[in-house]
Amino acid sequence: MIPYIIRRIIHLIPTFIGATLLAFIISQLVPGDFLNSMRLSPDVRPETIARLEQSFGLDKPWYTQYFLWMGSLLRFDLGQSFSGNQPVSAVITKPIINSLILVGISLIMLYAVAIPLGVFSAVRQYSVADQIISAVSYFGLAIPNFFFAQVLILCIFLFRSFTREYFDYNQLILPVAQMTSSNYDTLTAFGKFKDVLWHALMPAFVVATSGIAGLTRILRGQMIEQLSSDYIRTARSKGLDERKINYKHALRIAIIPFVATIGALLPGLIGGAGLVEIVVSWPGITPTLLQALTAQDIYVVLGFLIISTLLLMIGNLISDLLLAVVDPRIRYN
Amino acid sequence: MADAAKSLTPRKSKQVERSKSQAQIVWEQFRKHKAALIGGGILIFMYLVTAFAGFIAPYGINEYRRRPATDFQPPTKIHWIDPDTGRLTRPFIYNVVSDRDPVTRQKVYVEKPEEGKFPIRFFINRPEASYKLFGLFESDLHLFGVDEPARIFLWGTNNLGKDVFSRVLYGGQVSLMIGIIAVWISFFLGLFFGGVAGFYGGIVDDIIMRIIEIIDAIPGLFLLITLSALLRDPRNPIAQTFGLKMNSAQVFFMIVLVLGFIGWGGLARVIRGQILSMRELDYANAAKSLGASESRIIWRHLLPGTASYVIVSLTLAIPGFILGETGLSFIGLGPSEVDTSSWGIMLRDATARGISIQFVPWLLLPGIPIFFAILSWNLVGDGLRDALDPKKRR
Amino acid sequence: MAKSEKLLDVRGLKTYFDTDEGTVKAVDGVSFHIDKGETLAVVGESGSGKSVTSLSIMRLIPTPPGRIAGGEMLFNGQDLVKKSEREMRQIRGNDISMIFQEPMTSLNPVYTVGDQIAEAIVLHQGKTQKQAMKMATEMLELVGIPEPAKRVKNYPHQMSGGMRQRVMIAMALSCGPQLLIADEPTTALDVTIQAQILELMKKLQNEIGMSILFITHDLGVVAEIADRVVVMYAGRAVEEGDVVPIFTKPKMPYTMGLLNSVPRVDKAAVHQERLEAIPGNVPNPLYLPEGCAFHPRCKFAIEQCKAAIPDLVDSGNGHMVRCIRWDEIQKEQAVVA
Repeated sequence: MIPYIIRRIIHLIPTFIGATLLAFIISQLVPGDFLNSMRLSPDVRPETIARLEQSFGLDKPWYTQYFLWMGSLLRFDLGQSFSGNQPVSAVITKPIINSLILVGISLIMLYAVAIPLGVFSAVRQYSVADQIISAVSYFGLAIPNFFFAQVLILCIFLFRSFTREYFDYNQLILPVAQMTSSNYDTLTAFGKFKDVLWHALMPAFVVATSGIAGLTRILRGQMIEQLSSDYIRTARSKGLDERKINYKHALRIAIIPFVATIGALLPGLIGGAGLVEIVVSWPGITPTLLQALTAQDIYVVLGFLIISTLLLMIGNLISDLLLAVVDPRIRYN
Repeated sequence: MADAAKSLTPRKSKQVERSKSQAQIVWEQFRKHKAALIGGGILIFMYLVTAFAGFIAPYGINEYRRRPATDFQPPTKIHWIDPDTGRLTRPFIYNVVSDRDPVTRQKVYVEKPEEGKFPIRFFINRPEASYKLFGLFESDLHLFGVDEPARIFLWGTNNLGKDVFSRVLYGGQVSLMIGIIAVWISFFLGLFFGGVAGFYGGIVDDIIMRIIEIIDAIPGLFLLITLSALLRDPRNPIAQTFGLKMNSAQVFFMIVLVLGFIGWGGLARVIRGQILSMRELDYANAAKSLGASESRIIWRHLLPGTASYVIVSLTLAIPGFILGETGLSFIGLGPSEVDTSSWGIMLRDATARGISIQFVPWLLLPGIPIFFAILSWNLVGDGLRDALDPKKRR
Repeated sequence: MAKSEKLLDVRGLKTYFDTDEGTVKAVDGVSFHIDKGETLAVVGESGSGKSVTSLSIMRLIPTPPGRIAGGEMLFNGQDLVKKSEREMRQIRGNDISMIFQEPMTSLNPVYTVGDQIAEAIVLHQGKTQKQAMKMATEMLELVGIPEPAKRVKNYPHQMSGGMRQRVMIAMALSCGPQLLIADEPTTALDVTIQAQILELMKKLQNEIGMSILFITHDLGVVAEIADRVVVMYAGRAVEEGDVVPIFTKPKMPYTMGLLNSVPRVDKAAVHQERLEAIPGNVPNPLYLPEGCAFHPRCKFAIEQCKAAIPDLVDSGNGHMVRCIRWDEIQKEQAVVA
């Protein structure tokens, strides 16, 4: 098992280096050099600029700059944000955590909904319920999530205007913007947790929709295939009940390709979350990245690209490991 | 038991099928896929309507009136009943003027029946909204319209008072075309690199697969956002080198290229995998042992086998590109807003600062064609996959 | 076994499958019985309904499209057809258990073989997981798997086909069933392994005293293991009797054909006979021929064979045969010989 992990990590290193190179080349597309905006800022002392120019080797060719940047990267130094005049790590940490909260919650929703739906559809193949699930999953795959978020916000507003006469309150049933309430700072730790969860409910569901639709369909197909296999017949001949057969035997195998796709799912979720973040003003990666791009704060952009790449790779690694855990045929080879 | 079950599945007479061409079989299978047929119908409808956008749209893409302004006007109400006779009549509208709600001080639009009926007229000429059909034929003929000062806004107007319905039609030209163009770009990139990797193998294969892995390693949305944000700036080094001003046509093309660049890896993998597996197949070996040259093996034997797989991958990639473009436009990084429209740009209008969506819900209407375009491409792709897969034939 | 006692008595079993093209009568009025401690072989080509018969006894016919359309199956005097699904679950794996043709795919690849054996023990005997695992180890030892304590923790993919079939047998016998249904258990195995598995089954039958319903198309295996034989063709039993008379004096032309199509060392050496294949194919179950289903392939067929389905008649000593001409044919054969 451990050699397997090490092999996987070693395999990832060149890819990661390649990704840093690609990101750096992209950063060269910024007009002028990185310090343009800084030079224009009256707050920045000329000495600082001179020091930065030297430390990033801006007078040297781009590949030397790349190695200098890589060098500082290896010391866990992502550079300096120009607009905020603070380290990049300080700028990007919070948005990344915020995005991970959103993606994490939607991942939980994704599995909590898709697994029972997929199993149900497979067990009741061709039933009315199965056909409804199948139709709804086409819907979920086709609706762009930023549009879906807008529609839900509209629905939440409309719900209030329709129920106002009966309930007489101004509160919306779910928050439609931001990550926290205005009184967040006064809340207890548990209250804060609940507040964020409450705010995340709608956007996380939106982020999860296409994943739910896709995975339900995949799982249904997998389950149908497994349910007609020989080992299920064996399990039946042992006298097991249908629940055990479906969940303990068939799902256990149907889930394998599912686990293998967690890694592939993450970029989709992170990407999908991006546009939803903008709709609901969730202070995550994408809104901050857009600000940085507008300000041409290139080290922040690079920081986001590199850290999100790293997160993605870790996600892939975890799904590989999970795959080995759920599939003994991989573990022992 | 298994034998019994197999012999129970309905079987068609094999002789009849064998005498048909591959295309006929596929079409026959595809036709049985009702959802795919509906999807195909919707797509043909959408592409036709957007091709004739200039004719069908009552107003120009950027046409709006300063005075009296029509900003955020809700969809115009069409009347079918003559108020005088109470009978069904040809459809007409009333002129609508803006007013302030005495209580909320909000701007509201009210119908003015006293100014008379404005019947909807068909096939009218409006020189203010002339267009070039297919980019070739200058015309100002419109399917329908009303006389000034009334204006007919089927789907309301946006913050500048531009007709949402007309802009949706024009926007479809961008949003629907971009998917198809981007898929061709990633098709050629994928076919070339995937083919080379699969056929030559070895170090070439390793390098190409690594490059794909690297592009895949960076989350796609962030790569897309970053590239389009940086490349659309006319001061970027590439634009400087080639003297590009990054006008809207160039931005459009740049976005297509970026989408294609991010999307080709998956296709290249598919093609490489197909070629690798087929090289091992008996018929390739059989052809080789008969003395066929390598290029002949590729073109006559390997590629036709790959084709069905590739067609399906391509079809199913189009909705992804449409989604990519609308997403980019939605965050303001799509084709420029000045002289083009796109469904994503229009949805962006609904999130503009100071707008509460509950008062202008019609601004969300452009999302509906996005939904149908993606849905239909998915349905058609699934239908094709089932039709082309002999194992799934029914 | 002087005083025989019926363990399972199948009477007029009908199992039908409803398809788009019509109802397939996969099993159409099959009757036979199995005595306690006896081995009954059901022989037939694929599509003859022998596997469907065995799955019907377990009530494991996928419904829909399949259904048991008639007949009764008395197991210790109780009709299995009338049992609820819940009651059947108590019986499956406990009183009646089953092993299958494909040892490579019949075990769940993600659980250890020990887990899979223990599952039935925990379910039916109310043992704890720990006790069950201990019993599973003993079962592995019983079926002749070396190092059972180690093997019990293995996954199926770590075992050979023969080993896996032994595991299947261990699993089937773990709750001490009265009836073991073996659906072509040796077909997918090498010949040497086949012999070992048959030997094992015979040995365990003697030790445990269960009855075996042995489904096969392989007459060599039948001769090896069975006490009595039922020959099936197109969903019906066409000949039934003790194994020796059936092999030496088959009365139904189909059984004769089957026997002639098998190479036999004794016959070939003496008479230098050529192997004879039965002409034609098994009929489409949707369009069975009128009358005797075998008549289109039968070299003894006459006009009357097309008229009606012959009855299964006793030709003496409980040797049942479904052929209107069995008597004439027997005389004819005697003259030829």
